[in-house]
Amino acid sequence: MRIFATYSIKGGTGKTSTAVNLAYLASRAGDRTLLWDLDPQAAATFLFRIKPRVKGGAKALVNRATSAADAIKGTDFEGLDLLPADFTYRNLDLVFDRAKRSRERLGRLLAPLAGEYDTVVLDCPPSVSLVSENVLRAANTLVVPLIPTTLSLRTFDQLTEFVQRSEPPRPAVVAFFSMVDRRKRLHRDLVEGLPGRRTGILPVSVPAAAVVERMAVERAPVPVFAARSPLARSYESLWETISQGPPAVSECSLEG
Amino acid sequence: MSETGFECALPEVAADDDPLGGAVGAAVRSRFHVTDGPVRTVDRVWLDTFDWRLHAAGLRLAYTVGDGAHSLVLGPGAGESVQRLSAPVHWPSLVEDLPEGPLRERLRPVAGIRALLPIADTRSTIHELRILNAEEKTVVRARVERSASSPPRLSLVPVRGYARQAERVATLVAAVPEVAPGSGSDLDAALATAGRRPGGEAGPTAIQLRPGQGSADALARLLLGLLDVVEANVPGTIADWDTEFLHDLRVAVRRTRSALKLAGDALPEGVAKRFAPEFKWLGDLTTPMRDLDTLLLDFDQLTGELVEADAADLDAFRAHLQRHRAGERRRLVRGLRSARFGKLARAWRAELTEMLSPSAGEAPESGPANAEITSDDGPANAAALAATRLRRAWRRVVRLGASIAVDAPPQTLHDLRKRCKELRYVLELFGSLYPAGARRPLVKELKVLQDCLGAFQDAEVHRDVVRLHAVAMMDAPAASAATMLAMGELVARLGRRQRRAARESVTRFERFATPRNERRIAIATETP
Repeated sequence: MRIFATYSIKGGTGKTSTAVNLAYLASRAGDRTLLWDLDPQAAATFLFRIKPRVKGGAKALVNRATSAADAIKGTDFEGLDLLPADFTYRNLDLVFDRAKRSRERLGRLLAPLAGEYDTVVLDCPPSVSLVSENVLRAANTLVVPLIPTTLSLRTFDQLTEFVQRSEPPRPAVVAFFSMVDRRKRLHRDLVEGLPGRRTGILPVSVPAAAVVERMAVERAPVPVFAARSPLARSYESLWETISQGPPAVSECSLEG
Repeated sequence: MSETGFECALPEVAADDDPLGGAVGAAVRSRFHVTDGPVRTVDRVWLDTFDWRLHAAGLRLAYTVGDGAHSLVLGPGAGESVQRLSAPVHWPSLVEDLPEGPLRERLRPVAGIRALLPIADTRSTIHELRILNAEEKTVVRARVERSASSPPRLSLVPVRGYARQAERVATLVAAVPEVAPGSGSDLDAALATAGRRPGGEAGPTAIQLRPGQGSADALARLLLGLLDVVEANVPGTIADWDTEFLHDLRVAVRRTRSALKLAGDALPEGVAKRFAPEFKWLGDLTTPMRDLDTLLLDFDQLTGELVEADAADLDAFRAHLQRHRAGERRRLVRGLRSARFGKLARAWRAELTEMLSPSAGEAPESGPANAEITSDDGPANAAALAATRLRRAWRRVVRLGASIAVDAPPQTLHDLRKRCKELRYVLELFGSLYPAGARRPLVKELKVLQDCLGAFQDAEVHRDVVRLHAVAMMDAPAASAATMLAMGELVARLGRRQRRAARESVTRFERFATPRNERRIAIATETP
């Protein structure tokens, strides 16, 4: 079972859109796929028309009063299931903190599902917290959407440092440019110049497109309702790249 | 509704009407929304192993071709998984040769080393529908399938987490009077049309003998069952679909030879003497290729045990063995296509058929059903035959086993292995005549002993094969010093394995030849 986590310290970078589309593409490729919406805002859960509710909330899930397997719901798409968000996830840090081995809880909740799923995608809330530390220990790959700005790159540096400092096992970290506006010179320069100079940044960019907002109207991943759009193709390219095994990136330093 | 869904036959309706059929559609729509999905024509090649392993595991595998795409679909129901293929697959195919992916991983433990063979072809039109709850969330996937071979069928697959709502849909459908619940897939219909039975034939060990049945008749029925197995495995052996065809063919030949040796006197005079040499010829014909198969099947494990040499050093040896196997295969195929084999099979069948008693196999003169009546013409009935031969086979095992030791000559252990096989065949072929309580534990313990003796013999044969081919490879330009050294280490490893197996065999024999098992033999052979 491979575990990907769409993760960013900043909010509004396209994490949920990425998680939803990657999970859909994994299932379309034949993987038995689970998307876990860890964000109490429950955007991914809403997109799939599923009630954002887990019996007993975060506490019952972490303490295993409710098993993860029982909380899972099938989506409208074959091969793609969802572990829904719950508003109590806003306290997930506290719940983890009170549990034994507080940094391994997430991985332990996923372990019994290894025989059922080939791919798991975690849609993480934007923060650096105990939830993040759990994600780092559970995931094989962090997929980081990066808006092509100087500040975003700085945040990415902070994230890679955070990963390097964390205890093993550490995930591979890959970033891609998200919400790219080619009319902006800075966006063009970074997208064209950076991937070749810096390890860990994939030569894949996902455009800023109005079609992404239609996901909430269509309640479906982009390739379902706009299969030929550049956005759908970008997500397909991203999935193709990361599904073949990401390059391990622990030294994310700028060269030259 | 079970987790894997609900299936039923639908009343016939025109395809352009409601795909669910009027009454069923109305029932479902009274409580749920139904959205129409795509309609597609699908050509399916249904696949299973020769011994129906997928069927036994409750699985159905189809290679589907439709809309220019090729897919493998492993079902049924909610556990269905689909793998799209980038190129067509030619069948039969081994699971190892399928493209990597989760579906191959699911198939691997079920099919093992057996090839996936086409068992039926079907063409269907599939109408996909989704059944939605009040929030317009899909709670059930519905599929209406039409084909020439069967009435339209509806499958309802619950979406995970919505079992209660799916149950409601199934209840609504089942309440429609015209609906006939039950599975009966396209595969079942296609197999029924082709006159094939899922699960295949039961095989000779499942033949139910009666104690009072004439001994010649009983033995002839068993031997005919074995001949069926031999003949059924010939095409797969010739085509080399997988290595188990040859293995099963060999087992049936060995069982035949053992039956002739141990019970041939129950057949009309001269028959066993006439056919035994021919079955020896057939067995010998298959040996060289099977020896190479077992070595090649074990190759990865053997190379994994190397300490000094690298596994890659043996690549040239593996390639050499595969080339040699191709040559042995040609020789085997010539033998199986020869007039001699054809004549043997025909003459044997005719001879055995003639022995079958027209009166359902009763002994000509009725006497005590299980009494050990023997005469100069052999045992009078099946019970007597089964009892005397089991005792004889047991005695031979015990007698020979008493002389085995860790440092005994390999031939002694090999002979003990053959005697154990004979005992096993007697226990299995005449199994229906022994009390299960005595037979089952005997077979179970015997199997463990046979595994040890088999490991000993395999190591002996493999060592000989490696030595033999080392000599041949010395003259070949591809043989490097590294390969030769690795082969040397392989021989040493096999020697170690063999010594371990010898020790284990001695211990296992002591645990098998016990007074408790002797009592079991007595119980199995006593007159009730």
